[in-house]
Amino acid sequence: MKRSVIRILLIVSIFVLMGVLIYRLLDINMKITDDKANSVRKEKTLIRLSWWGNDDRHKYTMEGVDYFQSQNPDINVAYKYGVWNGYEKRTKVWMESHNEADVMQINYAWLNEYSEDGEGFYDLNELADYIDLDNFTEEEKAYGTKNGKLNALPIAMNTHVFYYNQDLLDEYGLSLPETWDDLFAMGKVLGKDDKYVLGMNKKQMFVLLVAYYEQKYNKQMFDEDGKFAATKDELKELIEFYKSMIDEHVLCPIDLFDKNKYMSGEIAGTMCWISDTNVYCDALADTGVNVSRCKYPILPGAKRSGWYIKPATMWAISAGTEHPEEAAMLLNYLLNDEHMVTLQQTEKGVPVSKAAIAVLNEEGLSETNEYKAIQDMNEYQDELHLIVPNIENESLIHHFKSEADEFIFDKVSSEEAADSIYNGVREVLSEQ
Amino acid sequence: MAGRRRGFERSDKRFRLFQYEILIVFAILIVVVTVFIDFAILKRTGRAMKEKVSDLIAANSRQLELNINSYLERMETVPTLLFSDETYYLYDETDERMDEYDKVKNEETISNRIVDIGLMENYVDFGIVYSDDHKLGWISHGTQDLFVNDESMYDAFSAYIVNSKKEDGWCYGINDNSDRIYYIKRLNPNAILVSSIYTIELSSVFVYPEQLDEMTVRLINEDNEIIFSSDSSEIGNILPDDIYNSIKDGVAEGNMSSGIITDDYLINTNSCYNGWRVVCSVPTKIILEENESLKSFTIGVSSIMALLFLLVGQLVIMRIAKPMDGMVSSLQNKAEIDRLSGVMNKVAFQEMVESELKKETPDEFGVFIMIDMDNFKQINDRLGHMYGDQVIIRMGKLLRKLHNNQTIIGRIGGDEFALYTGCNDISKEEIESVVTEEMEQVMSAFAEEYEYEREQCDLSISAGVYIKETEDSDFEDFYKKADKALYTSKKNGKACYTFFGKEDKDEA
Repeated sequence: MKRSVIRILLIVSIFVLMGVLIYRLLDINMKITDDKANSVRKEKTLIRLSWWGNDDRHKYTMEGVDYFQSQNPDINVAYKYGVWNGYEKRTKVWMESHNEADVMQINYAWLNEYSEDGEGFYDLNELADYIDLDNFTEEEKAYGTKNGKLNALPIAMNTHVFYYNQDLLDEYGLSLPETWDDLFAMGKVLGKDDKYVLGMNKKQMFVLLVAYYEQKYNKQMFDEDGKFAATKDELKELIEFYKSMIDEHVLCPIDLFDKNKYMSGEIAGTMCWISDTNVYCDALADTGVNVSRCKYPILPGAKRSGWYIKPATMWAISAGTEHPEEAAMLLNYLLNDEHMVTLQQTEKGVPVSKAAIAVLNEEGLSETNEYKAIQDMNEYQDELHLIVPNIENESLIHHFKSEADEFIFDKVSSEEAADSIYNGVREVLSEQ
Repeated sequence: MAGRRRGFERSDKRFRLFQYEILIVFAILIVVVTVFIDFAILKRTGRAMKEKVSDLIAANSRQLELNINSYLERMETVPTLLFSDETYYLYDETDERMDEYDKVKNEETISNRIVDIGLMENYVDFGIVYSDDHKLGWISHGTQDLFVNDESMYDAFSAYIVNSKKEDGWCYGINDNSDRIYYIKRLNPNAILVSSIYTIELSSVFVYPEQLDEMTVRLINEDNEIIFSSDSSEIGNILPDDIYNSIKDGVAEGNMSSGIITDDYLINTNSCYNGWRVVCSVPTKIILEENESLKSFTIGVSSIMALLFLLVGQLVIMRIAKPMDGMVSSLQNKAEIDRLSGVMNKVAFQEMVESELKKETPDEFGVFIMIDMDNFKQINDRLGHMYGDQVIIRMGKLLRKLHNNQTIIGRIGGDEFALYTGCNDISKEEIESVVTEEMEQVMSAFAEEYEYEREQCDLSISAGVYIKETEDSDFEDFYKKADKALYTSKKNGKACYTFFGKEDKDEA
């Protein structure tokens, strides 16, 4: 009796065990199928990002964005980018049509243009939970503050620097210029071989002329309110000076300037933003040429340098963004994240963010030419003025250059050209 | 009794072995049949699945082709906006009749136009290159750096203008660059427009359903260089051989679209209007992944079923076959056992010995003993047949008592018994003394058991012993030889045993 009970129990337990095994197998199989059936597509938050720059910046920014997306799989970043030339116009189209990106690289001057009252961009103070604002000093934050609202954060500080092909100067027995007269003396020597002392683009040329103007007349061309302070006579003298620079081989005609002419030794030097050091200094040095860094030229006795400092570029968030938190996460990544800083290095200038500086210091930041240029800048920072946005006004510069060309090519007199410039500039400024 | 038990045990063992064999064969059959049927079904569904996925890839590939065509057309449309005014496209920088001022003014106008229309897309380059390599608009440093050692950018790009009607062309891999694709359009005999986009931009064009996330999507040019791939590590490489070999025939025949199913991949390729191709591929094993898991599931379930069958079979044997075993054994006993003496009858004895002989190796020994009761007739005559039967019964008991399971015992005549013992653990030298000792035991045990009968009727036993030699293995032969020795014992006055000797051998 006992044996048969044990036997029955044994048989029942075997059947139960088998049942459980089969159920488990079925269950696992069903789960696989269920999981697949339940894999519905999750909607990602779309954040649009825009920037301008050169090839390197495009590539590393896209690479950085890919990494950001891999770290934040619920966020999808779409981007728009282009070269600086024309980007201002592009931004104007976006801003005026309310089609701007959620996170935007902006120029310092655009704060005035699009956010006089501080309402043109999102107040980043409200997103302090997502952006580590402690990486920026109050002074640095002040650059991006309009009407008490933190509209943008600076990526780096920037000013102009001159780089010269030292080998070429040595070849002609020339030394680095300190004054404007030095530049003309160099032009005499180099001009004999149809070479130029300096070559630069339209915007840099305007900054160069503004500096000369302010040194000569000891006043700002545009005051803090953006008002145009130059007289017609002063403008006449300025464009005559501009023409003499071209005629005497101090400055290569703007339309003929090509980076390759500087690289190949047809032009001895250039003026650029410190943040473009890799383009104009490192690139030339990489070809085996000795490159010298030089301070801006001065007019003996001048009381004002006429040279400006500005936040190189800034990151801002659109006032109308639908996803401020996600946009802030991206902005914080672009400014403070170790991965992004490592990709970016000093391409946009030596960063302002303390977190970024800490990362770059570990990588030997102090050895770079850009860092050395920034150190120089810090030494004479007191001589520099905080930039006045109109100095970078694209329409104004375009107008100046276009009218000056009329005089340079002898189509009109200097008086007529100065008159046109004077009226045109006032017209451009009145439209703002 | 021992011989009978031994016989039963052997046949029972055989029968059980047979039962297990049947069980295992059926269990294997269950696994094989289940797996075969399931695999056949899975193969069929696998084929159907491949065809369905292939259709899906084809539809997807076609959609990507349309996407890329649309994208390329858009990229081509923007440059055509330079043809809105002659100033933009007819300007020839190399024309020496123009003075410097006119050049500056014209170029300013054209640059402004480039800025305006170039804003419409994410162009890396968007500019005009003249035959003397003078450039207008955006020609990036990246592109300029591709042309070193005085190589003419104008000449290099002009070579890619292959469409004679539209005077344009697409190119990729210029001087080993793999991060951008260029669109070139001729503006006038001395000017071409150069525009480019990063290949990474194509990721927004190559968007495909998430269900096909294992699919690799590629855009290749005429030289099979991978312009874009969803697997970014492939960009700039040549299309893998295994995929190229699968599509090359279709490409050679000029097919706009073709789908190929190989053992390794499901592939679909579509041709874009500029000659580039979209190639989508999915490893077959990924499509059939679920089928593979179903296969292992099938094997698992059928194995459990087989195990279950074995257990149930064992249970059936325990519950049903055992009583039957008893019945069969009982019938078998009846057929094989001499009912009077309780040892095997002659037929069963002979069969058992013959079967034993077959198993023995030639060098093994065997001892065959024949025992005959002397004067048994007098027992029947003087003490009656009933008593005679009792004598036989007691003789059977005595022999079983004296011998272990290794000895086969049989009653081969009225008062005649035979014994066979196989010996493999005794040497040839020892065997005769061992047998002698055993025979002495038998003789004395008999004398003790049948003392009364000996006194009354002079009952005794005579025996003939034959020790098997290596060369013979025939029962009949043994029987004759032992019988001969027995005859010698009888002849020598009965109540004794005799070994089959050499002289007997000669006689035999």
